[in-house]
Amino acid sequence: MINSFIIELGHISLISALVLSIFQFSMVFIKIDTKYSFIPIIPKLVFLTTAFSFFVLVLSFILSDFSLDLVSKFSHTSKPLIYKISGAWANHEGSLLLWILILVSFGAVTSNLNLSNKFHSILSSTQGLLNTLFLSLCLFTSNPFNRSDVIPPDGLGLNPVLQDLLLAFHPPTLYFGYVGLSVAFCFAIAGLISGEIDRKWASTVRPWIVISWITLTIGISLGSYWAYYELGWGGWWFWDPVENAALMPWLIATALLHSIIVLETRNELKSWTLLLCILGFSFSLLGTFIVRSGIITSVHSFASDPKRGLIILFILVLSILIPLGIFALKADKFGTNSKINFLSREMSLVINNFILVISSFVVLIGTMYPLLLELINGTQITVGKPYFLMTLSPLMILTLFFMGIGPLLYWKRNYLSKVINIFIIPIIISSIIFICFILFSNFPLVSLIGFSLSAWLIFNILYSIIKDTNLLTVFRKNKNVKLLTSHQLAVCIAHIGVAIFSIGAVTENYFNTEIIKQVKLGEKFELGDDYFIFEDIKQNLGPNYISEIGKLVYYDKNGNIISTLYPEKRLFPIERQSTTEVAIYRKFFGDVYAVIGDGDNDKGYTFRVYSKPLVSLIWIGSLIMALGGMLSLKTKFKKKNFRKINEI
Amino acid sequence: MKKIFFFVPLISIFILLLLIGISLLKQDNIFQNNKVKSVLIKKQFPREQILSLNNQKLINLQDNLGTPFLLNFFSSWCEPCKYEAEYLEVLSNKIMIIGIAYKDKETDVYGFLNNFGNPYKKIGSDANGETAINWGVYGVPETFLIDKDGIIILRHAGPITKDVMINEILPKLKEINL
Amino acid sequence: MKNFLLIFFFFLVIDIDPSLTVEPHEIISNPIYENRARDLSKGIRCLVCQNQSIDDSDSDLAKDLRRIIRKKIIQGDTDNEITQYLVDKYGNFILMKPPLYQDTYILWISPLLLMLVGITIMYFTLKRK
Repeated sequence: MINSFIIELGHISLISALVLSIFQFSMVFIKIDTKYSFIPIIPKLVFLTTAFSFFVLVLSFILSDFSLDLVSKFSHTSKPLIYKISGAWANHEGSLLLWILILVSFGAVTSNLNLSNKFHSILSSTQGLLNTLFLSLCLFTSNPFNRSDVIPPDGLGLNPVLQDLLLAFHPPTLYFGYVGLSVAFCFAIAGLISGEIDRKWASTVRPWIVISWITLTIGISLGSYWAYYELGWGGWWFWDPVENAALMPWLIATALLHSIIVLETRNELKSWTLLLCILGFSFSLLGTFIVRSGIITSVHSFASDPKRGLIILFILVLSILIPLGIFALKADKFGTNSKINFLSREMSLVINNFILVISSFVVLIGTMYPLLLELINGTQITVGKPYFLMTLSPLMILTLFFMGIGPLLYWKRNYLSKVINIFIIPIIISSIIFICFILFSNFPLVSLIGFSLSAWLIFNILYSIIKDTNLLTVFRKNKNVKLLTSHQLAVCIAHIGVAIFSIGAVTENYFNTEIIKQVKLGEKFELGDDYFIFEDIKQNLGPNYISEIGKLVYYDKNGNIISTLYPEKRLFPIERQSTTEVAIYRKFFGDVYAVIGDGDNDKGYTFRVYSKPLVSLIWIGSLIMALGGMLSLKTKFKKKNFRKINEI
Repeated sequence: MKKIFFFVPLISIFILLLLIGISLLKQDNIFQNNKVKSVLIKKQFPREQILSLNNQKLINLQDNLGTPFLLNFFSSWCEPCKYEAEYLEVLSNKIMIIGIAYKDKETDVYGFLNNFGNPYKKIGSDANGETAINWGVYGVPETFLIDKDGIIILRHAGPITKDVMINEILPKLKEINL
Repeated sequence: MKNFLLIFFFFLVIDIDPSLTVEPHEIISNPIYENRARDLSKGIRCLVCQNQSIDDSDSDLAKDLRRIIRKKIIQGDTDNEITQYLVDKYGNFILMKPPLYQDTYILWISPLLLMLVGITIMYFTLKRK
């Protein structure tokens, strides 16, 4: 259909991108008049050729050109347009090309930055090497432009579970995060080799780190929210290897986010930051390996090909060992001799950095251990949710504690009396809350610790707002209230997001109630003080499915109608698959989550209804975190601010 | 002193990768197909009475002690079971096979056997799946090889293909002199 | 590739009707027993699913395992006995939380080790000058 010529053009374009990338990589070895050579146009050409190639791929999906193997396997003529488009990246080859596209587009943007020639040359070459490795992986093992042997008339790819907007956009969002960390990675390598790590280096790379962090936060939340409303049993995180593969870089990115700020404002923590830059992208690559190599089969993972897995492993190993080698040789040049005081903001930040990095390694060990154990001595074990909760909860508790302390401490200070003055009120309030909970409720102890620490964090944030705006002086000396700087506001918002998220997560783990019942038409069943009446059941014919939709009317204890819920189950006859469409009634204070099961008109239908208090806080908290991040992009740490910080 | 610290990340990850690499070399199939291994191998087979397919008598597997046999969990509704029928036929000439119809109806089983052949000396019925769980079965078909002393020496999960028969089962049969 | 396809078919124990996880007729009327059943189920892995417990799965095997757990509770078996039965049949793989024994020492010790390493590094950072 689509002109075969255009497809071949797309293919050639991709090959050209590879050739140009090799050239981009080689630039650093070519010196013109002892000056490092850097040709800004090349990264842009790599981007253009890759973009055209991706455009051709998407076009083939839109036009349902089944001569392309990928389109015939993963698309169908009757798919709605938006899912035809997203189908381009809902498979290994297409998503890899999208990954590469984002990688080279970031490369094109960074080629415009104002950097020293030497630095820019090394940076561009490092990026060129990455481009080369991934384009080679694509062209030689995962070529999206392979032709079909047999052309099916309508296509074969119509998995109903994948036809969901949230699911379509969750991977690209994550890719922005993973690939963003590659910028920090390349900046670190270029900095190590050129020796130019300073405030300017930090301020240039910081936006990339922040954007990575924001997109990873949003991407992970999207995936979690999709699992919640689509999979039908109310869970939002399953410690699946692929979920963990996204969590690990996020934890490192969070640590990196904080340490880059210290580098930019105080010119410290250089080697630590460099190490984090390398680790962050290494974890991204590890995630890629886990998902695409076939070492784990999962709903997330793509069909495996051992050859492909080995090549990804090879890229992974090179990309981790070589930069770590460079780090080992060169990082000692950047050590500073300044001492870190125990009761200072630096210390608090360093402690949390360590905790975040330790957490990511705990997740790594939990995820990889079953695989490695089986490889080494054949034993099969499962490392599931209980392991991660047991090991990460104490770390999370410490993190919340130090997040509360940190922003209130001063840089470089350590006067114990002052510290006690600062914290006495939040400690008292949090302790009172904790004691009240213990005395007046029978909530589980772990949940109380979680709540009290979230309260601790929130009160510390409020306190810091009061302090930074001089709110109290207004009453005493009639002075003007100061506005928060964008940095201070960003910190408050992001940290409040964490507190809100924690409250939601703890509540979801301990305070759900549910009822499972077989209900006949017209019957009522109760959940706590409220009740439901099963009023109706309808059969419905969708475009490619048959469904049964139940009507549950939700009443409060006084008999007032709160809402009507329509849980549904769909059967897709061609694919012989079925899905449940959960009915969720959302309030800020909790969700009511209803699932319909089997049944008939005689015996009645089975319903499972949950009450999940405060569950939305999980995603609201994440979004607020991301908002804090976005606000921090606006922050420019000017020289003026540095002096102010030192004055305190 | 300080400079060595910077080599720690490199050295520790290098050692880790080396360990992984060495253990990878010991495997012949690097990327496992994620099959669950049986923990009953080398143990005595589970003693229980199984109802025979026509519900008229009980089968005591203990009665077979002294003779090796294959125990095959199958059902008429299971697609891969159809593929393995011809190989079970071949094996039935070398060793006695006892079949357990998993969550199946008598008439459907007889229909299946009519279409695909009956290699079984006896057929038991596991209507509620409890026998299967007692054997650590997690799907059908699954086949166990029990030697004359009642020890499970092989478990294959999945259909018996030509490869499986030639490379896994026949060698084991040779080991017990069949 | 052929092996992959066959294994794929093998796992496709086709269950067209979606059903819930725990079903009403499974529930034991005694709430203490039922709670024990639910708690035990949460710790048992569904072998044919994706990292889920049998409490969260609607596959046939999960249902059967849940039924056996409830049957044994009613018969009077303790939680440990029931768990041990399942481990005897399916190995430690069926437990969501890996037990602490020779093969898993490293797994359980490593978070503590990492903390120790972290504290040591921080100590040396503080000690400078």
